[in-house]
Amino acid sequence: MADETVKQEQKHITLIVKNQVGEEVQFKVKLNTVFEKVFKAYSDKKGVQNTKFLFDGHRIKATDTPADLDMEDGDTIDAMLEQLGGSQRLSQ
Amino acid sequence: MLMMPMSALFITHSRSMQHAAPWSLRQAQKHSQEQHPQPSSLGSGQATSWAAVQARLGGLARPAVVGRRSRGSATTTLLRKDFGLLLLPTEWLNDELVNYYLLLLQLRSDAILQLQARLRAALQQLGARPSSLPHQLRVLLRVPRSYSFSSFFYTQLAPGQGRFCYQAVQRWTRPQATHTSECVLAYQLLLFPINLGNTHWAVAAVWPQAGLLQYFDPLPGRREGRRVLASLARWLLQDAADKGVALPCRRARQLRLEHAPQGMPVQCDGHSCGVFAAAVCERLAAGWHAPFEFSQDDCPSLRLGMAADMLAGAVGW
Repeated sequence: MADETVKQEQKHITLIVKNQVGEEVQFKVKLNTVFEKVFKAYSDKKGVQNTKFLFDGHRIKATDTPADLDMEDGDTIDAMLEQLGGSQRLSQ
Repeated sequence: MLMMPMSALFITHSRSMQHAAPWSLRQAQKHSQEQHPQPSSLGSGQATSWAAVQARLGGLARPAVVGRRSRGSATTTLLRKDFGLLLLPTEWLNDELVNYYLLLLQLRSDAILQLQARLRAALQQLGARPSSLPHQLRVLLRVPRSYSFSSFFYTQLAPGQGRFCYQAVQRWTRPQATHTSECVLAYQLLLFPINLGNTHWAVAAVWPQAGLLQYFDPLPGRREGRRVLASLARWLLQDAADKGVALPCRRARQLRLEHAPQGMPVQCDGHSCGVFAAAVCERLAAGWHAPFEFSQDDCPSLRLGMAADMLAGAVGW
């Protein structure tokens, strides 16, 4: 039982973080890695701040792990930017 | 667990009935009581002025966190930095505010759904008809089973330049993702906050059982509505086939698309479309239909009502 737990924790999966223009960044993570590390690595690599990460439409919390969200190898995370709205498009 | 939301619903309901809050929409109501038998206050009655909102904010245990609500395994947190936009009368609303408000609407719908089930069971047991119920309970029975989507849904489905990416949202309607016992496509009403060009908020309402798709935009005469409805119609049929949900209308030409429903209030300022969008969602989720009773003049009070609801963690009924 203990051995299985250890194996489970050491298992790596590849996650794809995809932004709104379709650019992808792959991360190889352990199932028990907290997403805070992935978020930081993504933000550093892309040079963007305040990205919101979604999995199947739900926000991923910094304290979540891939195991918490039942993620599997090859799953895609959506990296979204803030949306604002107040008025009409200026170009129209 | 089962009792909690229902009792909470009754408490807020009776509270809003007792206090005709100064920002209550009853004052601005332009249509008869018959058309709108249940004026919604869009506020829980827990804070009725900006001073009260500020006082409540000052009393928060964690100043950076204004609210936190869970649904299923998903927890959503509303941060002070986002809530702050609502406090400034001319600031634009962002996705955090719109999505948190829609989560509160979803929680209210979930509670009403449970209440409806108990009411129907009680009626059956008594061999009574819904018409024998008091007016306030009869109104509850008319509330549609609804699901509110994230504002990012449409952004992912239609990422601009005429593109349509069904795969990007294919998994969003699995029951595991929506935290529902069945696929939400079998529901009566699906609500979609629509962000256009990162400058504007509108709302799309999809009624899968009625085969009706509506687009509510406080700025009339925009062309985007047709594109939004066409994308959602295509998504609805494709997703119903994918999820194995049998809809009454299975062909695109059977669906009715209402591009600009009559009675959508018009925005006259340069910052309130998010408030209009939230108010439309609140009314549709409560079982109201256009024409809506609010106008541009009500935006300050609607905005205050939203702030009060978010602080209270529940939308008043």
